[in-house]
Amino acid sequence: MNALEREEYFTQIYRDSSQETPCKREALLLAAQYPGNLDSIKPGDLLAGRESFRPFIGFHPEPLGGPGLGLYCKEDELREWMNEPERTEAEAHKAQTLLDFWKNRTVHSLIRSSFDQDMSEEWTSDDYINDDGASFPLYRLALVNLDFGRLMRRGLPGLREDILTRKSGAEEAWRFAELKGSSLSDFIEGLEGALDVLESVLSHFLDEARTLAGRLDLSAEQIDRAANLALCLESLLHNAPDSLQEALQLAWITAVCAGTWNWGRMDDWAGQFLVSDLNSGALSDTDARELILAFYDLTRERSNVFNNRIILGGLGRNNTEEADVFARFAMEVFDAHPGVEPQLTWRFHTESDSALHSLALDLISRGRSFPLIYNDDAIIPAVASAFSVDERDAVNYSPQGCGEYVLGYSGTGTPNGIINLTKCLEAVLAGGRSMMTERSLGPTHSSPENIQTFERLWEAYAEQVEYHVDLLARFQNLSLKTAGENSPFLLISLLSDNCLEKGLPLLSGGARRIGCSLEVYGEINAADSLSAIRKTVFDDETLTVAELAEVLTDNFSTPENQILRQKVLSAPKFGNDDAVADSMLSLVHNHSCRVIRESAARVSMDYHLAVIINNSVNSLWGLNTAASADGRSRGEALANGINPAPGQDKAGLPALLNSLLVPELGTHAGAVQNLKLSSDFFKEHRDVLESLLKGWFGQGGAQLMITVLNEKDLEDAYVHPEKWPNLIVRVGGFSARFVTLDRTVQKEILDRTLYGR
Amino acid sequence: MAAEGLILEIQRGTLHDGPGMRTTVFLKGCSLRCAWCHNPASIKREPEQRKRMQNNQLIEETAGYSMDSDSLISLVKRDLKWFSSTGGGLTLSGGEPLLQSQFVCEVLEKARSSGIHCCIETSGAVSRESLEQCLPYVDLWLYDWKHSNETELRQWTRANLDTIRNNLNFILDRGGQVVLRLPLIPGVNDTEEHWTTIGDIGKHPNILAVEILPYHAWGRLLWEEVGRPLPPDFRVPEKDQINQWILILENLLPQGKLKNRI
Repeated sequence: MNALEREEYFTQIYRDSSQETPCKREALLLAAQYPGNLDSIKPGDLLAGRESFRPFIGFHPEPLGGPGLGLYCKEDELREWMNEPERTEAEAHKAQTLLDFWKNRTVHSLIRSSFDQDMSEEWTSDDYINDDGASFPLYRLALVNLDFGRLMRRGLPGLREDILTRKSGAEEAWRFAELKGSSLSDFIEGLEGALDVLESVLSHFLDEARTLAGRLDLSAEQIDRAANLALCLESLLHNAPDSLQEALQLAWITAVCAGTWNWGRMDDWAGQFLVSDLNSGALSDTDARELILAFYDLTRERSNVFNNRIILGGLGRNNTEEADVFARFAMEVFDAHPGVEPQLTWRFHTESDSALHSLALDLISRGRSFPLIYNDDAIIPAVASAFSVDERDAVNYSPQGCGEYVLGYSGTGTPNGIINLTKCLEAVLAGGRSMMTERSLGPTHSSPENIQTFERLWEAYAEQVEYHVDLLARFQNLSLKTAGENSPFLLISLLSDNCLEKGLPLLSGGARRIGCSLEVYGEINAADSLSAIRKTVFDDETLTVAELAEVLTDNFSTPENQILRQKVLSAPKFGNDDAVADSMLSLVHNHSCRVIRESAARVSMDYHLAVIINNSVNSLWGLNTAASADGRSRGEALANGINPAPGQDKAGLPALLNSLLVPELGTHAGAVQNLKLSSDFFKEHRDVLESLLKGWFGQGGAQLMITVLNEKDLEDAYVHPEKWPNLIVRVGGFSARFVTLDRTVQKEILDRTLYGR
Repeated sequence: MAAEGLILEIQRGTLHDGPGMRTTVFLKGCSLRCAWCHNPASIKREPEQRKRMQNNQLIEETAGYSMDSDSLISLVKRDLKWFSSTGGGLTLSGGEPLLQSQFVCEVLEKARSSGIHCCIETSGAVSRESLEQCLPYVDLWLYDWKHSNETELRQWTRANLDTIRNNLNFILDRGGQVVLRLPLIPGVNDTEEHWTTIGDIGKHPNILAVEILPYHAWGRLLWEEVGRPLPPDFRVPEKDQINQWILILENLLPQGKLKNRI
């Protein structure tokens, strides 16, 4: 394949289809990508559809490495490629031509060109890693779950039947549709076109599998596998899945073509196939494990460490018994073949199978970092309250991505904005400017000299936060609206609640619910800073707000400022069961969660919810955040999720757990709490740990992301990375091999308090 | 009025001082002078200055503070839910907690009335009255057994073996439940006489478990922090040696009684 050949082909199809309606055009664009962008079957493969190629240009809800929401061009990556020394002039020219063509045609550029004045002023850049800002917009349709249950029940032929049945339905709903120049029949035709693409992918691999099966140079086993794969692919062209292999194959191809990264309640949709294959003898225990591993390998090759969630367990499954069998296999296969993907997720409740729960803890104790554990008994009511839905809907919550809950496949829940609360406080202390670059941030504030009381400080902070939240809520609405006007997201619509029934595409009135979440960072440092300011400035009167602002801008560098740093460091900190610090955290947490939640109504979304998750943004964003009044120095990582600032929880594990129970659950869509436990705790005191976790969840703890470590190993890995290629740690929202992490992230993990030594 | 105690440190979430997850209160003041003491700041019966390095900075602080029994109990009670889920509770350690028997007794009484499981870790080198006073409130005794030879014990710790032996027997006779804890220091108490004695004591049904605590050198530098001359440099036992001790003790003790806590 020549360089940029696929991108040029895609662009050509896009040009050629300019007269088509968005629905028909999207079907053509899908056909331009698939199966062409997928890798060939390799001898020995049990499943087809490897996707290692990541084009610079295409159609994708959430491409990695650039903005998405439909038509995308990863401009930065393409420019970087173009400037590599080995590029020929012709290649560079091709790249430039593509860049010029797509410049104003991607959904990202369309959204940016629709910015109002406030947005344009606040977000001069989208580069939240390198540029200075208190909030940034994100462009993606992330965390999508497909209705795999329906896909399994109906298969491709059944879905086609459903589409045709709908064709004869009413047109009237289209008066609500926002999709430019489309009608119901366009949508139906588009859906059929999308199904054609899935079928052509299956046919393409069927040909490949047959060819492989006829190759004399392959081993008997490889030929056998290719022949079986051919049978599987052929059957899927004519029937709904009838075996585990068919189920996994269909789910994989469909999700890859739809551009989604998560697997929903896989135990529930795949369990019955597993059990029936085992019972009939079609699969031996070993065969079944190999198939599941083949699926894991596909996810690992396609790799997206922030996604690839497989949800196991929990209330509300249809086939509990079979699902539990699948859950056991899924965990055991992962245990035997550990990695950073897929992100196995174990939902449990008081009635969960205790052997499975114990197996989940076994994996964690062996340092697998998975499964991530979630407590249904606490989360379902919280989700019902936060999303304003009843518990029948809340029961299908899925922890996705870095810890955000979405409501199964009943609507969107993409986190398309990020806010840094510590930076918001920084802006207030610096009179509406950044202490790093002096750029203006949010509303203009009066000078810090005028802040004479804590109440006044709080008002200014709240005003700054609310400004960004409002801007982001308007942006989220704008981004989904613009994406919806341009793309029906056919395959996602086909496998989301209500779209086919209503005859409307996902973002044009089809989805049962339209909502977004907002990633909140720096919550803990903001709260601890406010506690320290209240104590040192307003109670002890050690210095004024204006003087404090100077100390922070100076990054505690002078000897006097070093002494002040010790003072603020000794002020109460969240995570120590300290009433003052914990209630400040509540104030900050409840405020941001509330204003984000309330903003949904203003922009006609069903929900807009805070997610206090963690990935590496807390470390990276820390680099652009000035010294804060909690004693954190400039550039140091912000606290992760809703956990104490690294090393600031000094009062013991029970004290930490008491603090972690403080922030309320029912107003957000996920808050990540980490626990770094020593491996000795698991080995020597397993009974205590199990009963402690039981107690924690019984007290209403929602989840815990547990990393099991031996501190000496971790320190050694920091110094001698070459010796620890496989040490897996939980960063928070995702797991990673320790040695592949950025040094600042490694440092932050080292600094977290280790419990149970 | 609530009695006041002199406290060195309170640790929440301890796993090594009795069953479950506990709050361990280290009281300040000890009558013994164990040459291997790993917590020398707990020896003196009054607050003292301590110098130590923290974040590459030398800090000077006061080790030891007063707290009344009510404040202590209200802190301990904050972890009731974790005690009840893990079967944990309160452990009073030291130093020698029973040197502050009035305070300790009051704390135990209040803890017990809140349903908290109580342990005391003691050297046994204390007055009979102090034991008797606390006995009704103690669920489990963590009883140190440092040496089985009268002369050697006195030489290494200044303790009197008769007192310790009689006090242990007193607790056992009164139905007290005991975990025997053995600090093991190579060349000091890894003797035939010590093993045989432990084997005999361990047969008593109220000795629920015997724990070994092999010597480690982490505590050595702490002596300087409180301005005491460095103690003798004992040899840190190798894993093989620890395993050998375990074998010896397993042979002498009823099955399942030996617990290895390192």
